[in-house]
Amino acid sequence: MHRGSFSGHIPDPHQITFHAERGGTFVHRIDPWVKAAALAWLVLLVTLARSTWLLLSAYALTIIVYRAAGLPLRELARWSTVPALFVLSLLLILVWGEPGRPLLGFGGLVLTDGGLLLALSLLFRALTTVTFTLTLLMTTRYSHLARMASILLPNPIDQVCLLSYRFLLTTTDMIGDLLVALRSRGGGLARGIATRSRLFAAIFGLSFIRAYDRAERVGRAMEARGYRGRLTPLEPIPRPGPVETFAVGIAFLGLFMAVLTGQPGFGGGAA
Amino acid sequence: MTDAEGSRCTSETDMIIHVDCASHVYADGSVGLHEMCFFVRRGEVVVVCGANGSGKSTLIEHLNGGLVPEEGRIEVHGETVDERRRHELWKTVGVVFQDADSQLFAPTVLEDVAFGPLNLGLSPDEARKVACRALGAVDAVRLIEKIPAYMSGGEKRLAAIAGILAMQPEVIALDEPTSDLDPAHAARIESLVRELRERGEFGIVLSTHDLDLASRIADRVVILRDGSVIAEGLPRDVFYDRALLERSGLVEPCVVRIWRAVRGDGEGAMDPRPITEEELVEALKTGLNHRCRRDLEGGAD
Repeated sequence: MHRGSFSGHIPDPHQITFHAERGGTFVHRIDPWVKAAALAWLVLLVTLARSTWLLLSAYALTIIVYRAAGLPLRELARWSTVPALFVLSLLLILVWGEPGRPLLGFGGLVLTDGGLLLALSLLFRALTTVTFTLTLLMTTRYSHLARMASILLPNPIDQVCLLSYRFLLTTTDMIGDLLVALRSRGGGLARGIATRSRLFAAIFGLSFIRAYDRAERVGRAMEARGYRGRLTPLEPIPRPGPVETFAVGIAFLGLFMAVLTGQPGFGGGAA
Repeated sequence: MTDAEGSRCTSETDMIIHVDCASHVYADGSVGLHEMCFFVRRGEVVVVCGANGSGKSTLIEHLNGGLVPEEGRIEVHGETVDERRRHELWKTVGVVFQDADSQLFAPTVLEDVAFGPLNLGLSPDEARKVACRALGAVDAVRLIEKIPAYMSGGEKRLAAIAGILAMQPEVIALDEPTSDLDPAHAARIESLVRELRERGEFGIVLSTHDLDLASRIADRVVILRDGSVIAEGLPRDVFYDRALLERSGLVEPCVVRIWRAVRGDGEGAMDPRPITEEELVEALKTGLNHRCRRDLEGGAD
């Protein structure tokens, strides 16, 4: 039986699948196309928005939607640490010397309020996108995602994407098994990397090869049941109703209008 | 050793699949099959036994078209399977792989079981019905909405078997179906194989190195070594041949070991050669009765 992800900070694909397949909240029932459009809209919004408050609002909104879908906040907090650390590692280069009121100084480096706002806005951008992507994946059935991929992408690119997602599961399982074996003999991920980095690099390389081998066995088992390059979903993907389509259209139109007319928060007026 | 006595199948017309002198060598030079001759008939359980690396899994993959013999041929209902028809073999032979995790790839059990029927061209509604029926047949309807990753090994195996039953193949091949299962789940799989045999619709091929299991369910036993069939026959004939089993790297079934310990190795001492636990108990009771009678008669004298 699956033990959970090998690290609390990395999203567990099995848990994502569990919520997507078993959840029954209204967010799960929203049309998958509408959720995908909402993700595109959010990405556009956080890309175009200049106001930190607007970005904070967008992030708060995604958390509200995430929670409304009955998804676990504690896991989200853990899973957010990796993208947050990634952004912070970039910010260590970018935030210094921004125009504004100086807050801190380290030798020649000065952190200003402008730099701090830049850091926060980049962080909100990343977390908003990550949170809503997780919400989409954790509230949309795999068969719907498969159907969307087959409509949006040409064959065999769509199949490569879908099978890559399944390959991700086998890879994480494999690494999870490896770490359990290490921990059972007193080892650990961080300690092992720190003390025997070469050995760990080799072990992780091999675990990817083993995952590939296992994925190939999955592929062979699929072929043994007639798979010839096209996954047929058991359930047809629902089509968005006219109201939902209209709402999505209005949302995109509103966003473009706000950008084109230079509304506050999108480069015009005070942020 | 013959395979006719006591077999449930009576004629060659029941033969579904025939592997005719097939050979297969892997890329690293190791021999998978060597002039292998093998057949499966409707309504029988053929148990393929052999040590690790004897060619059991390779044979099963050939039955399904997953591997192609480099020499020899495979016939289905007497017709040779050419390259084009090889891709259709999956409709005739369903394989339950040794590692159920490799077989269950869909996010839910229902979707996984319906995968084969959808590939057969059934509509989603029909596929759903067939999948539910197959899960019912293995008494696993409760698993229908479960996520495979969160299921036990036994549940996964049942779901994998349902996935094959849903395709309604003529031959069901199970690769080491009870390995790594607890006794309760192993017994469930065993009784399921019996139920499938009673239905008489399928030929069943089961590979294992568990000769206790083989002795309980086999109509016919095939012993493999180095990719070749070295013996074939009734379980009673094969499993009482100690030299053959030693040569194959196998260990006698428990029942045979007990009977051998009771009766010794003398000429004719093995009769009636019990092969199942029930037969062993019966033979021991008969033996005790004879001894008691002899003792009583001796006492009376």
